[in-house]
Amino acid sequence: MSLDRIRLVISSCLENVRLVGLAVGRLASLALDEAECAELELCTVEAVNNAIRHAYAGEGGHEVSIIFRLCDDRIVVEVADKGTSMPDGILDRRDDALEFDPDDLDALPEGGIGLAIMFRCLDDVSYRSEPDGNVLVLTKRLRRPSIETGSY
Amino acid sequence: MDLKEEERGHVLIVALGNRRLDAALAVRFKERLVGLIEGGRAKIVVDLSLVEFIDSSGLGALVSLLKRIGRGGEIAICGLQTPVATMFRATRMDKVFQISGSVDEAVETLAA
Repeated sequence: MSLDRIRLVISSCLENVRLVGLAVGRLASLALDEAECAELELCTVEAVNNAIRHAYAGEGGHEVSIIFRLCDDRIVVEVADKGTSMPDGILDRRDDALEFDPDDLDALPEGGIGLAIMFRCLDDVSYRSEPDGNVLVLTKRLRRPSIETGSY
Repeated sequence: MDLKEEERGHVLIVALGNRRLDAALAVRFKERLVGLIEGGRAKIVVDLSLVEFIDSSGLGALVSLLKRIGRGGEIAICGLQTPVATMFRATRMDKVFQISGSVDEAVETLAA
């Protein structure tokens, strides 16, 4: 059961992404250690950057909303936009953009590694495209039960 | 953007004063350093000791500089805080860049 939930909304401008990154990283500290919080902050930033760049083609003035949910056994971050959907099957391809040859200078990736980072740092990444928008769902399982949630 | 430059012999030290090297800053950061490379700088130390967060755009900017400087030059990175060092490891960029603990070490690496 989801016990705690907060919704953050920013306008689609790259300067605003730090606001949700910092907030999610801090919220995650309720249940994750420092390194895991840094990973979740990073994945949230990558997801929001992608929404701004791809769903809204870098155009400002659109809404990106982030829902942070702290559950008994996991943290779920949903990044939602109302822009262009990602191509079908992009998450299934699982091209690992991080499997490059470090000595091959020309082949080193200058971009396009955001999803690969999410797959490496998270327990699950899923995507749904609905008539009212797109949602990327990032899930990080808790290695220990959250002590901050519970009934009062 | 807060960028400080210091010369030590043939090595240029560039210290980023911003706390986050992210998508909001990456393009400006890259353009400024590309300008330095095009101006003839071939040995550059990038001091990230004040940077607390880097995303894939920030890393992409650094990769782009490495490509721009090519085989004829060298870039060394130094002063990685824990979350930044973790990002370099998670993306295997720790195998791509020369990474030193301090500016002095990085300068020594490039001056050798």
